[in-house]
Amino acid sequence: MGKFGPMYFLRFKGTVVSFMEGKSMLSGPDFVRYLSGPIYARNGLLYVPVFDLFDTLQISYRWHDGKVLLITCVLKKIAVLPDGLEIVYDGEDIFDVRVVGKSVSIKLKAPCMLEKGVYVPSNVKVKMDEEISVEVPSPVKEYNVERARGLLRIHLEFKKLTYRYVVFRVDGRIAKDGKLRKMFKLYGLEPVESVVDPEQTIVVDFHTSSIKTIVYEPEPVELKGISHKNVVISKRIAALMSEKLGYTYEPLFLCSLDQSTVSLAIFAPLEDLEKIVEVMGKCVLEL
Amino acid sequence: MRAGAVILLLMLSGTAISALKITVFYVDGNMQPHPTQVIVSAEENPIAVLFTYLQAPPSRYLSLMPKDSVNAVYIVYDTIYVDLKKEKFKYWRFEDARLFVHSLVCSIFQSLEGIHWVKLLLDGEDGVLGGWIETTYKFGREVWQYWPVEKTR
Repeated sequence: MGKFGPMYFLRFKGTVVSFMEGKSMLSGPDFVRYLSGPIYARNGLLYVPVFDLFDTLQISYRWHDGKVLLITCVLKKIAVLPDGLEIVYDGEDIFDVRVVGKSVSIKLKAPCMLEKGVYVPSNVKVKMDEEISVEVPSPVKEYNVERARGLLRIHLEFKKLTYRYVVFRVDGRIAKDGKLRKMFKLYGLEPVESVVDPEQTIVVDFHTSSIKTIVYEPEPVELKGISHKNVVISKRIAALMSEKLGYTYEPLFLCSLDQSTVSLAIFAPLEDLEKIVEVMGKCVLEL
Repeated sequence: MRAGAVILLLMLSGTAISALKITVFYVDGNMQPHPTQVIVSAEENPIAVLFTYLQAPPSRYLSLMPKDSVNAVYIVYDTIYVDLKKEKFKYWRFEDARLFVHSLVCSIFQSLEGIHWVKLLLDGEDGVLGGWIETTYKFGREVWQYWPVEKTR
């Protein structure tokens, strides 16, 4: 900002604007912008119509709940690629990337706006100033984030799923809770009421209990190795889950366990249920 | 001289056989196992002693095996059959049923070397112990030789 005689100057990026007290205009080397009222001074402060000034200087802003939000990041392109996501922007890097299962979430750490006319793909949800989220078709195994000036690129490596279905019973009844079902889907597991395909289904019986243990079925010699694969994978999931949850795991021939599929029985307090489902989803991705 | 050595060896081995030790897995209130060694004299039947101790734990441990709950115990080749009284194992809590099975089967494998399988029966038949545990299948030494409740750290 500067002053020359009665003239004030403001410069932002490549634009210079000048104005004078008592005049109703903003001017520059190649433009004049007329204002609805004159610029005036009071108590040693100069009052300039702020939106006209922002528009002239091409400063992005938004009027929200009686406050002016200055925008430091303008999104110019959002694209879903076969192996990831790309965002082209102008301004500050305000992106915090989180990937969980099938959910890719980009938290926005400051106010931002979409450039006029930007196409937002149908599977991308933009919650302005908060988050950009995408649900990708398969759970993500690994990802990395490439950051360059004006470009954010998230490279995703998808997990090839072995198990696609889960029969999840809570105290003997199929879990109908919408939140639990959504969490399973996030990790690529479709909740079903009965075994769809034994090769692709995991059966879990949750029992409300004060103890915290996961039961897998050991290999019965009587089955002569028929259930070997299911036994090995059941035990592996039980061990992984118990590690993440701080539970114990143990073998038992439980009458509720189904040897034709990978199956587990979990005995734990009901308040651990959501955490168990989340951990289970992560463990299935690790297999 | 050589004959004397042979006689001495026989005496030593005779002593070893008479001082048989069995291990009983008791469980405390925190569900932690406490393997406890019991010396069985030559006159006693180690299997009978094992079941006696399992049914009468010291007061500081959980009483998992009901008294007078065994119909019969017999061994066929490398399998021990434990025939339990069905009426004593109805409607158990899972917490008790699991500890009972682990305690019984671990005690058997730790105490009786030649046994590789434990087969539980309920009044001579396969069934569901306590409403939870399937007794159709044999419990193997490979899995239950040591306390099988694990914690990954």
